[in-house]
Amino acid sequence: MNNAPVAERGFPKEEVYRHLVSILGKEWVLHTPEELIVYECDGLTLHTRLPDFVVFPTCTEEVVKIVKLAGQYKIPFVPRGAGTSLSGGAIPVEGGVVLEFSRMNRILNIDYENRLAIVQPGVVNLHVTQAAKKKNFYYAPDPSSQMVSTIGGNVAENAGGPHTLKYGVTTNHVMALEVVLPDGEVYELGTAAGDAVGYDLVGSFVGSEGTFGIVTQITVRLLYSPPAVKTMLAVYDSVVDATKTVSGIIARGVVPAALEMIDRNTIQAIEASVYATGIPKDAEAVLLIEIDGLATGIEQQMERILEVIKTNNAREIRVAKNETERKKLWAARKNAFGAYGRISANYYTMDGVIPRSKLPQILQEIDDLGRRHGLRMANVFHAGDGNLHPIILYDIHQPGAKENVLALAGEILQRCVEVGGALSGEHGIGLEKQEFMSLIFSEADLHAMQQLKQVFNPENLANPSKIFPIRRGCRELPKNILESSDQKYKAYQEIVRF
Amino acid sequence: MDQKYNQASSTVSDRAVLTPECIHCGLCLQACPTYVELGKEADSPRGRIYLMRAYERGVMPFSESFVQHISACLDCRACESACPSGVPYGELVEKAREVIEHRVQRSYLAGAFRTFTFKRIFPSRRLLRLHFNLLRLYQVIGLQKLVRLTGLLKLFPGHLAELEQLVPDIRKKKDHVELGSVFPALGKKQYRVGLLTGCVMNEIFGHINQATIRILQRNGCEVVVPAAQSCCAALHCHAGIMDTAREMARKNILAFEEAQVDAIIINAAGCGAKLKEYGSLLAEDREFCKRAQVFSQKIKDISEFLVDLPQMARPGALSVRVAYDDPCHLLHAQKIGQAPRNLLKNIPGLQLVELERPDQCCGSAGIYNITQYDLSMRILDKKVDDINNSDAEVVATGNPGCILQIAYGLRKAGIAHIRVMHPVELLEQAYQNSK
Amino acid sequence: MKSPTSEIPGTLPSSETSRFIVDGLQPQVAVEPKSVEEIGELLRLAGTQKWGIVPFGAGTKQRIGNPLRRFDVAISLANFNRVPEYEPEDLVVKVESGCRLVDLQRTLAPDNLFLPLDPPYYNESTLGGMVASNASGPWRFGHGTMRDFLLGISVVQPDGTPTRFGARVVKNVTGYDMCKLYVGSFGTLGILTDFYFKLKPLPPCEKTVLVVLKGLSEVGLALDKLFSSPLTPSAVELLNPAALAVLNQSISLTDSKEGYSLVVRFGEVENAVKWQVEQLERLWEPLCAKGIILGDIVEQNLLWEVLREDRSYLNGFQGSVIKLKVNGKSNQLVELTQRLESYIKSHAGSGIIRAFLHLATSPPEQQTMVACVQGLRSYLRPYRGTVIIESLPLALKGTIDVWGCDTKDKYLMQRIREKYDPLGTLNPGRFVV
Repeated sequence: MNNAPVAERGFPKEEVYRHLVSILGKEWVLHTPEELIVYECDGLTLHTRLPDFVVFPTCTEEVVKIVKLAGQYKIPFVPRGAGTSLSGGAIPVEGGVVLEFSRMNRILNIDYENRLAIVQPGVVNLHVTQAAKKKNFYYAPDPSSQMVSTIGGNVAENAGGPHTLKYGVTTNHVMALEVVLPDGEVYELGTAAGDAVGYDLVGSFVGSEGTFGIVTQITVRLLYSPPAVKTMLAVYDSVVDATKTVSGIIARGVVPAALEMIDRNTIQAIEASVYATGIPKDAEAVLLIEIDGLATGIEQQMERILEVIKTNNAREIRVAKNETERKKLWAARKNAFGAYGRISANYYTMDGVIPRSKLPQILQEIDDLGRRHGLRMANVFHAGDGNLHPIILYDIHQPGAKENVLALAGEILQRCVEVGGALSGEHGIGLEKQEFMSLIFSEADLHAMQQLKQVFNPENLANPSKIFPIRRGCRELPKNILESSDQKYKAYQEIVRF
Repeated sequence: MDQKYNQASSTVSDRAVLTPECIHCGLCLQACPTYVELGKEADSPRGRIYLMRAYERGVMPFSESFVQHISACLDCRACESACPSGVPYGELVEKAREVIEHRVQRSYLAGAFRTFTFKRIFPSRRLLRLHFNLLRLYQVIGLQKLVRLTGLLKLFPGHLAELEQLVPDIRKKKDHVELGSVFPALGKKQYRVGLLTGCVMNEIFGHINQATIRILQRNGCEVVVPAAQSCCAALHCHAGIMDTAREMARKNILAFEEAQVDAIIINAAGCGAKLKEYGSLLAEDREFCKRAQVFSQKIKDISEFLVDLPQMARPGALSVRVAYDDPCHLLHAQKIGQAPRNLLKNIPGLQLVELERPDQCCGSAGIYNITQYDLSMRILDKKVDDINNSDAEVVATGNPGCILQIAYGLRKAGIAHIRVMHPVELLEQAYQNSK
Repeated sequence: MKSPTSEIPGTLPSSETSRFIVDGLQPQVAVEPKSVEEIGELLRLAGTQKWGIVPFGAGTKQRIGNPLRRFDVAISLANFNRVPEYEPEDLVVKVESGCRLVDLQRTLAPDNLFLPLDPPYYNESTLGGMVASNASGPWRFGHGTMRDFLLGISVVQPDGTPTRFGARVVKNVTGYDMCKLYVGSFGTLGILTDFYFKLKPLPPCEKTVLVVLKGLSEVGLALDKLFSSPLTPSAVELLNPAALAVLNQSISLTDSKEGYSLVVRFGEVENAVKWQVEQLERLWEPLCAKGIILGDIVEQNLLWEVLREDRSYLNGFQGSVIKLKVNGKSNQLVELTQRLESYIKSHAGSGIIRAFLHLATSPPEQQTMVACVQGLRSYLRPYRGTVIIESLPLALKGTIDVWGCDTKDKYLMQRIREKYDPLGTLNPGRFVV
């Protein structure tokens, strides 16, 4: 089938290298192991494979030439933006050519009349907003990596972020794409003029994790920046009270721009770190709530929220009075991951999503599961979306730690699926969770998905061996996900020079 | 493998010094001026750490590519401000350079010079004078080892000729502060502070040191300038010449211990950052590690010190539009961004304008503008654009390297109406006006 | 070749087949399956027999499309009309495809929730039909379209295999986003049996502003001003003088005033709505000949019903009506409005115009119509805009492609169709591919 690994192919490396150089020039074709090694992984570090080449195209025509060359020699290719994927989206797991988009980073046009921007895939997410700011427009999807991650990568992974509760994810903001498919043909998909006719090819392409082809131009929607923002933080003695607040706010007809929850272990980590913000260490949960909109309506909304917070026994409420205070409140949330390092030698960040109403139940279960495995857990997540990020704290040097963590992670994902949730809310499947796909999808479901892949990528050259289960048995994480680096590094393979 | 690398000397210990705790999230990428400019992972902080790790674990042999990517780092430490995990990148890159320094038969700097210099030789009077100036500058800075090793300073690349403008003729300068002096407080004495003059600062910008002393006197400080003080060792650390660096650090600690001061004032961001890190520089030194920490705690950037005073003497009016540019080693290394701005805002009539990217490196970075001339200039061009797009009359920045670099950039771009000054110069002018 | 027989489970009496006429064609058999298994069985049989199958909801969108190549079996989803899962707290509901939109809204209303989609035939439309046709209405400006609300979907593949994609969660990147593939696929990729939808809270307060502008150029100015302001209307509709006249016949709001009219709806907390109405008055005051504000909910609903529905525009005219959906960029609205001398209402914020062309049946007029559509299509082609003929007199069907899709990506659509429905069982001939 389509997802079978492309055969371990031998191809005339020198010949391909010469072709690539003739397309891009020597400086922009990396081929020696010491130059390639930094491209052997992305945000998922412990799964590595050296690409054969890393190339830096500057325009669609060059991408076409590279892709055609790859097609001619049947070499797999993988697009890469900033390399921040947490599921291994940009790891060239079968080697081949990595197309790095750092030189295709121009904002081609901002069309304020039609409220859209046309950008190249290497444009950094935040730069779109910065460019549109002077006219009060912005690009809504804001993954935590937005200061570095690229729109191309965001499109591939259908990136989310804290503000998706109200504004949706990447796919809700992409109107049109220019793509290069593995046959080397350039297609325009979708339109900025009303509805597209025919199948929603843009919607199908967004979130395909680079397995359909390469995005070379993106038309995104811009929104008018809400003039007013209110941010508040509520401290609770019970997780149940905090989750009740979440549903209470929604039930009141208020859709906050962001609704984030931080649990006890995370609070302790933050307060033990340099990012301490003075949250009481014995608190069980903290909610960070942000609403935005018009200055006139926002007070009314905030009163409703404060009411809900109070009726749910919050022991402390802080409302940011200005931008500085707002940043301070967000600092606790944003620095949480950095802070885990202070309380644990290693940690594994998971991503799962459940129906919001199951939050109290699942949080309790995760806690129990952790205890059963003798592992500490922490949780900091997008409560409004039901998008959990359970953090498993562990020490790789403890005997059996790896197997234990993997078993726990598997059980947590299984529970997420059982209550009607899914394997990933925003990190994607990639290499990390491909073996879990059969937890949620039947063979027929997966087959239907792969048929779509065959439409775009019939020879399986674009980002092969991702998303769908392969090789390994079902229901287990790829073994090397948590392997310590020392074990992981194999002997440095012989250096090929030419 | 290239023969000039001493493979045999590879030991476990020199591999073990590089132990970053980077989680590879990549949030540092856009903070890094070299990544933004070059677009290659190996020229980003994450990529460099990955290279260090690969080398340390023995996955990757020592290579010219490794030297090149580690050398291309500005050591501006903007990545540290962006890092959610608090990875001490500055320390890591300095350790990596120490490894390189040990591994390469010549010093890192000499290697860099070799790589980036000699293409053409212009034996002209102009260049000879420049040569002399550079040599004198390096002697002053105390990089004797460097100068010794770079006997090849005889050879000048084409672009060094352009750099002549960067390095003023320091032989003519006579305004430096004499070491060993003591300056009394004006009015009631509140504090006894020490001044670390800095090498470049004192030799090229003596008047800034003079201004610093006058401002301190005016604010009730008796100012001591210990005679036994030495260079701060920042440039040595950047270059990985650690033995000399530690030597100098010990010398400074002794000098200021003897002076018995409440605080040690520094007006050069690069020096300040290093002085505050003596604790880790001398962490292995049993005799000095505790004393180094005490010393580092006393180090205050002039802006930090003045802003924290319970009551600062009120400056007079100064009508000027000023853009403040953050020196990397003040903002990212010392996390001081607000104090100098507050200092300037405190001057009646002074209008503070923000640059588009005040936190971006200007490309000076110690002697980076000499070792990595082309890249440095590309980074400088962006800074000059930002300055030109602001309507500032003065760019204020608290580091001599940055002052030289930005002034050079402005001259190169033919922008004559914008001056580069140290914030204390503006403050001193304002004090003059208060009379 | 065997004909469909009444042996198929769920087959309706032959007297019922007249309910399932499409473009004058009556199926041989109409079936009302009770389960996914029955649908699967039927599709497998259809595959072996090379039948042409048309899935049916309320049938309100059946006039859209090119003529069917063949029509053997109509599959009615009338038995799939339940709301099997509903958790108000999650703002998510599971609905079967034969359930009517109004019935769903009735279930949601007690919890102050709704599915913010308001297509024409609001009262009859089923959710299956809405997904299949990507139906939308004025709310699309403030709320979005079907693709923004569909979270999960169950599909019986053309080969009869049941499949399921997405989940009952609002944020999900587990595998490909298959939901998008089925939105607007016009029943060509499988039989859709149930959906998970994301819901929104009902706005606590609503107000509608209707203004008659001094002229067409003021329309452009007014929209520019609105879209570069912080105002967040839920709908922005444009009516040309002809369409305004139709509106006036239904509800006399603007007396005899003639001209271009913009209708704007706000729905938020009370003081936010009040403030926005005031702001809008201030913004548009110099451009308006007349303006009225509707606060009364009954009056508003009546107005929006007329705007949303096609009835008033289709009824009461001699000759036949052609309904166009013109997809342009929002800054092309004025230009397009000028080009179209017909009854026009448009989703002004989205660049979509719904135009009703009235014409006599005589051949010269038909040629005029064809020329008009082709002219528009070639004008819009460089902007990737399109003109879909949503309704066309039967006599004219087949004389012009109603979709007008001739871009390169059509090839990919063909490949999709071939992958999923290689035998061309579903809605043969009607869709783009």
